[in-house]
Amino acid sequence: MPNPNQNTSLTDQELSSVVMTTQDRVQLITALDAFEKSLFAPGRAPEFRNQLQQLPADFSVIIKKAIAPATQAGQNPSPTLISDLLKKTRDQLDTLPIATLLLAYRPTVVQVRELATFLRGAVSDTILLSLKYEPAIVGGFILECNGRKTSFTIDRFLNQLTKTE
Amino acid sequence: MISLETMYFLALLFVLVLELVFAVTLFMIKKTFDKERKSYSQLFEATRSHLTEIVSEATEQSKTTVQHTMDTHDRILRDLDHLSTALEKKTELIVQNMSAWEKDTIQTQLTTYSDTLSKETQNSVLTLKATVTDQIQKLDQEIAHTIRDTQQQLKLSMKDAFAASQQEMVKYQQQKIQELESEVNTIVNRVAREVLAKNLDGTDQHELTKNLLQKALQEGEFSDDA
Repeated sequence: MPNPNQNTSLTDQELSSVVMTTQDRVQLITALDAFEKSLFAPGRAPEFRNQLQQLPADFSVIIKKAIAPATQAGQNPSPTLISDLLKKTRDQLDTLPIATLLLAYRPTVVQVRELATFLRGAVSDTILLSLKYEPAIVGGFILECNGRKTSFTIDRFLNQLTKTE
Repeated sequence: MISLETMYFLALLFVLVLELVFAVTLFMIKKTFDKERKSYSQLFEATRSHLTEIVSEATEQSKTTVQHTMDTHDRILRDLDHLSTALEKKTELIVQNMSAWEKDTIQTQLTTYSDTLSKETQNSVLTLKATVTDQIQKLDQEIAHTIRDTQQQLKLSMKDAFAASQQEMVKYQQQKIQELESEVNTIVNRVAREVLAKNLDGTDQHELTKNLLQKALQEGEFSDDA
């Protein structure tokens, strides 16, 4: 008999390897919701494997890992147990730390990955990057992280330059 | 039993007797009063006559006394006049009969007395002069001291006023400098923003962001104790 209090076997590192930004997190939560909804659809058997195949590969891997404690118990896992594990995964996603970066431009996907990778190396390997476009910034960025706000904008450097002169 | 008429008669009789007694009493009182008044009038007249006599007598005596005093005074004055004349004559005789030595002695004494008086007067004048000089010197000193104090206070006041005006000037200059700096900053920032906004594309912005992130990392902005 599966234990309803069973935790997922996902680590924060595993989650954050797929979810680098808050946008990724929203997409994953949407996928988790859709997957959970399909389990309880009326007149359909909980064939979760078919559903998993329809998701992006990295999301599929994450969900498989998340519900592993239920699937390992038997061939027909309880939808309630799977739902519980999915909820715990969502909760775990919510606990990941966030660093907000206000930028003067709208970065491409590749550029976002670059920035997220840099911040993970500098701050924490599980941190999620939240990006915001701020037209008032001419160049540079403002970083909000761990309750601190750091400005590395052109405005700041210009002001420093004119003050020291 | 006494009748009503009898009672009325008796009452009338009683009233008549009462009136008679009252009239007799009044008469006796009036008589006594007249007698007393006469007696007092006589006494008053006698007293007034006596007093008039006393006053007349006293006036006479005063007149006599005053006359006597005036006479005595005149006599004393006459005696003094006689005495004075006699003394003068006597003095003249004494001076005439004086020896040359006695005259010299008196002259010397008079000269000595005069010298002494002169010296005392001179001393007094000198003392007074010294006192006045001393007072003038003190006054001079006080005036000089007051002038010095006033000059000192004036200098200090002028110094304070100058310092205050200088401070105001420095304050004004600093304020103007700040205003100018602020204006320059505004202009520089605006120009820099315009230039950067025109010349930086997305790739440049990304490179700039990466460089600044690297700079922040080097400056320790991401460390726990930053």
